[in-house]
Amino acid sequence: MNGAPGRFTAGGNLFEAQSPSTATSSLGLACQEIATHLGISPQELYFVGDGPMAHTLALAGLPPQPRLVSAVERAELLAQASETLPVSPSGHLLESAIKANTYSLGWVNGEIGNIQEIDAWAARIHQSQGLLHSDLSYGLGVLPAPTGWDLASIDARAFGGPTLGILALKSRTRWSDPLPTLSPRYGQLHVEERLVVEAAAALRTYESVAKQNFERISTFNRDLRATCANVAHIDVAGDPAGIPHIITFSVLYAQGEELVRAFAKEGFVVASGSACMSTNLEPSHVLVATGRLTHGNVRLVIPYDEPADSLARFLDVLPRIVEGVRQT
Amino acid sequence: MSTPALEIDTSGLRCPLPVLALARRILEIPIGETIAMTSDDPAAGPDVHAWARMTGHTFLAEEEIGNGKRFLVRRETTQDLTNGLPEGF
Repeated sequence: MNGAPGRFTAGGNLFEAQSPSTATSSLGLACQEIATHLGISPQELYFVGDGPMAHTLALAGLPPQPRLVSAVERAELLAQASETLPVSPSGHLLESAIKANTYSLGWVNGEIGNIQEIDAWAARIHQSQGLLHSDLSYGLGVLPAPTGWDLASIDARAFGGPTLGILALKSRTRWSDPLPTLSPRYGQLHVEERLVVEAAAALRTYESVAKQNFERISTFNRDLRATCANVAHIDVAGDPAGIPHIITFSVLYAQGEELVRAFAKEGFVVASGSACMSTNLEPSHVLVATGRLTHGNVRLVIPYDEPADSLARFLDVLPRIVEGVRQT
Repeated sequence: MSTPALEIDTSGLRCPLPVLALARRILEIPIGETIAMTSDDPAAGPDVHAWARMTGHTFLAEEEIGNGKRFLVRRETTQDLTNGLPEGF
């Protein structure tokens, strides 16, 4: 009993404590909508404060057998790894002997955009009695989500949603809530209802915009790779077959911070995985794990509704900016 | 392993300066010879690997020393990749 004022249902269990009519409430509809994206039932959803919290809890609650985490996962997952699994230069998990362990392998990488074959890995892992956790944040709303995982975690900000973490827990999965204050019942709400409703609305909008513009952004992705290939010594990370809106490249002999500043001067907001842009002076572990150049790094996350003229202008200014920064 | 033809120390320099120093100074040794570079930049290891891959030089080895690392690279090509960059970079 949380004793929150203005609430009738104790503990806020959505699907057991409330009347059947809640299925048509905005919250019930929002849960249904998110669950449909993931191919699960609304009772298999959990909501927590933010994405990193969802990732952390997801892995921490799985059986404490060896936890094998791919080297390009988020830091909160790698922090719980008993072993880190190597990846290819394009960021894909390398072939290895699968055992009855707990695995964590994300679907679309949020830094370099490569896509892992989650369902194929899940089948192999299940054959060996193992469990698969997957970070599904990037790719949701853009591509049909994989369904083979046992437990998924999602950062709603990845699809333009609010600060909200989503846990998708298949009812067959043995998972115990690592926080003793929370009940391990399904459908429990630990966040404000409006955040769930906002997340579902954001996902709906994101999906519709992504669908309308997928080909256009894919063309931009190809054009950007071609532009990079024409400028000497740019190392493009990831995979040409990756998700089109996430592209990362590194410029040899340039400083990441100066590139970010130069693009900002032209009106473009880009991020960088270079050490000079990180608080601990360590370069992005994803760039390191995939053997990419870590200095002069630029990371683009293109909104699917980015106007065509601004994309064209980016391709236009790129060679000039690279040349300018290399020679400052 | 044979003694490096050139030994450079980039301690205190941060990305991309260690790799840039390596790119410049490797031109001072004959093709087939080895240059050793010491760096205390945490980004230097991955960068020296990636730079060698991008430029065609051969990454031979790395070893921990003090609070940094020492890298051995064999010069393979004659191309001057730093051409056009100012001396003070």
